[in-house]
Amino acid sequence: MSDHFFSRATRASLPLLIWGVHFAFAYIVAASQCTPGALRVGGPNPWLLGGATLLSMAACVWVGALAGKRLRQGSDEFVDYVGAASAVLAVVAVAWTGIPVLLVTGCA
Amino acid sequence: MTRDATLPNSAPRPPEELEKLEAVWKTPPGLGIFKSVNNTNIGLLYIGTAILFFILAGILALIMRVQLSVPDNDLVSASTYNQIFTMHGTVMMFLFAIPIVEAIAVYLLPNMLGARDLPFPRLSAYAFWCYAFGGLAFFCTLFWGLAPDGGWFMYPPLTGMKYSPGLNADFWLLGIGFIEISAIAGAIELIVGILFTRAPGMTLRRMPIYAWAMLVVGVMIVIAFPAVIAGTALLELERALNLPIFDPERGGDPIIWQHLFWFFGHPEVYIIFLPAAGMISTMIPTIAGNRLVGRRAIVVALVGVGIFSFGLWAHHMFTAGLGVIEMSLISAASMAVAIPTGIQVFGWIATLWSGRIRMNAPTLFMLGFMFIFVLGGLTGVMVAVIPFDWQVHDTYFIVAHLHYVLIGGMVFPVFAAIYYWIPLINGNTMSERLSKWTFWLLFGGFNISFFPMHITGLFGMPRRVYTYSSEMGWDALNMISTLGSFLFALGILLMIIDATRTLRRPTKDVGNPWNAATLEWLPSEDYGNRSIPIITSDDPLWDQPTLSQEVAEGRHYLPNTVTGRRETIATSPVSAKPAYLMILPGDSWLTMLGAFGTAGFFLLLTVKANVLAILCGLIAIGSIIAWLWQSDQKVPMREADIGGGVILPIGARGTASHSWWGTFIMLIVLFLIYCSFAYVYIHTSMRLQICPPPGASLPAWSWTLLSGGLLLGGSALVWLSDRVSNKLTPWVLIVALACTATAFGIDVHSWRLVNLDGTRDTWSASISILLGFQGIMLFVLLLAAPYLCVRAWRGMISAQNRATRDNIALIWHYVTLQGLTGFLVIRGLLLVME
Repeated sequence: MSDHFFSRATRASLPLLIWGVHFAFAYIVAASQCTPGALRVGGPNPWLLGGATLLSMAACVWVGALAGKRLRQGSDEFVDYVGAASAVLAVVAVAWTGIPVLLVTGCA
Repeated sequence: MTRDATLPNSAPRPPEELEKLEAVWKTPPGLGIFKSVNNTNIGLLYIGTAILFFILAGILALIMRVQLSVPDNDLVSASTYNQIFTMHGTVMMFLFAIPIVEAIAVYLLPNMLGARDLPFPRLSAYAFWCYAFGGLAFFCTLFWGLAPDGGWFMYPPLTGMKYSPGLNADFWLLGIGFIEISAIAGAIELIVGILFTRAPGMTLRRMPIYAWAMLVVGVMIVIAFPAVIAGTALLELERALNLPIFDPERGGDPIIWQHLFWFFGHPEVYIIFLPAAGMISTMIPTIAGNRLVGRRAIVVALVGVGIFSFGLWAHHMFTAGLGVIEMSLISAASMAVAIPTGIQVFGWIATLWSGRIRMNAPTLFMLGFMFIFVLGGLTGVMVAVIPFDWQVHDTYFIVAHLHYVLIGGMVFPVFAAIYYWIPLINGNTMSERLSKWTFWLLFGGFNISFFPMHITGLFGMPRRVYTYSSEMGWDALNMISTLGSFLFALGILLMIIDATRTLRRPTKDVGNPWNAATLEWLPSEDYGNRSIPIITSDDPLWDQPTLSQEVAEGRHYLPNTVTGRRETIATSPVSAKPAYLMILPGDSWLTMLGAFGTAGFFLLLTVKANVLAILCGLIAIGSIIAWLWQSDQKVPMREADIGGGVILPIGARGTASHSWWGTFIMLIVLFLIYCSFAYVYIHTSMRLQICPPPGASLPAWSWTLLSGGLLLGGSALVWLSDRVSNKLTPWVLIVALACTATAFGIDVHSWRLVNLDGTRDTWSASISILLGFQGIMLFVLLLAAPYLCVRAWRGMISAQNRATRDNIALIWHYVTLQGLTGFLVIRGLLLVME
């Protein structure tokens, strides 16, 4: 792995991984706060989930902007193109995931 | 003599060079082909076997359609019908769909990447034979009334001992469980092959889209399959050893199975679809005579689909009683995945639009794919809407949807691929005239059969009913579906006749019949290309017009065998620069024998023939050890000249080595299986009002700390064994093994002290399973450590031959990590919950 495979692969796919972490976090919080082991009165914490959604979107935008900047400089074109395009996909997907989280209340 | 300063070797090459190359790579004649491990040969056997299973499962489908053609039919009984629909789904998904996409990949990729072969040909051969032996034996259960009958996703409690006391469910769990091993072995081969054996210059940016698709799919298999392997193991443990994982009366939860199954099952849809999409992205530029539009965006889309697909599993569980937020999250992800899928479809349309389309057999099937798959995708978005899903769940609407997705999204592209790539076998193309008949029979038959099922489903017909009453008003729709299914079958028959006729024709030069741009159309023999090409373009055969001739003349890299063995060039994973010469293993019966032993072990265990099962297990272990013993051998030289002044080391060590990566990926699979077991523990604990449940408790901390310390000590000694003299190495390893084994013994003892009883409740069962898995890994070390010691004593470990040592050390550290993870999860969760 002499040519920085992992760092480049991570750079290219980071926004999609952020989506994955956000999705898993939202699912785990929603599921666990409605089970006896970590029950929360009133159901899953919307502030926690909303904050995580905003944070994730901000992180995707930031990673995308960095990739876009590097792309304009033409340093590692393919990796940065994939990073920037992944960021666009991930922002939409995180926002999409965030909408139901904010609309639904309780453990129904 | 021709010398081109830009090419590494001159021509003509010495005649003895080609003779040696041919001798080393020669496929054994006659029945000897069954001992061949060359991926190109294995790929053909694999494809043929997968098509056989497609036909067998298709015959089952026809029986079902005849049964349903008229109301109140009694052609087959309810119990036989249950077995037939279960086998149809299981065989189509596990023995046709996944195997054929891997099969086509192992057949195509070596040549498409410009490699002589992929890095682990014996692993591919073992995977194929496991699948062939296991699959055929599994299918034969149908003839003894022992076939599984709980549906292809085998939900408990229906498949638990209470409602399925026979062996039928066990055959599914053990049979399919072990066949999944072959899928994982294939994935390891594909990932490492794609990253390590691309032709020099074929950077990730220039890599064929099909290889990108298979890389994503390989990673998806590694992540998705452990969940279902864990699930099948859990259900079998409940059935065989009474460990109550899914039994609500003892704290279990059937939902666990659904989560584990669909965490595999939904990505699996994309595991099947993405290779098809990769084939389409490869074929469309050829038939349009135009470069793929949005090539980079399509790469992003492939990666995006691969990642998003892991957020969709529970959309198969919308009626299972999940929380509204969880379902909404899954629904959102289900819609999000449509975006990258759409990017690919628009890329294909744009490529066709901007090119000059040649209407031939592959084109017809690709257009058929687009039409059918888009319809399946649209109904997919419909069922991602939760209230609609509640209405149509378990109705024929779902049957229609899944067949539109799977037949449209995978079978039609595979048919297009067969027409497109069949000339690679003997140079002949299939009949254009017959192909039109075949296409319209298949396309028409498919739509006549499955489109009415949407309506049948909306009229309320549940799936999996063996008959229905005329009063329901479903008669005409069912009759139309049955007629359509027979038209489809006729199309398949015609295609088989055409393919057989084509393959029986005399062999001729393959050439490049479609004027394609990818490397599999370079002249190739058993050894792959005469020399390994240097790539400078996304579409090498279009942009490097003299490439075929140069490669055939041996003017590119490695036109010979340097070491007198099978070998290929390993390149760096991103920029594809030559890194080292990779020695590949030769043909052997051991892989077939090992697979026979493995299949025998699992299948005989199912019918409780324990002595024979153990005998088969020993055959499997013996064969695999003998096969490994032959690898990692000394080579007569340290460096190899591959031409153009490029001198490469022979083999590599540590993270630079393909062997290390193969082991590493296998360990990721094992860790994810362990995580699936840990999930059961977490799920169960979180549902308890009091945890640990009454009658259960944790062992004292002192035992845990002692056991953890010994695990770390074992790993430290393994690390040390690499830094002492070769004579001392075995003795240090023996002490390390004693440490690791004692750690496990202490762990088991500590749980015995608190009376852990895995049959009492699910919480205890989940801990017993975590312990048991650690025990299995210890068993692996008990085999591996003495093996390494013997090799060290025989002087078979040196600076050049250290793959065995590196890999066993890696496994050892993994066992330590797994043990410590277990402590952390079991104790950490309770601390968090407190």
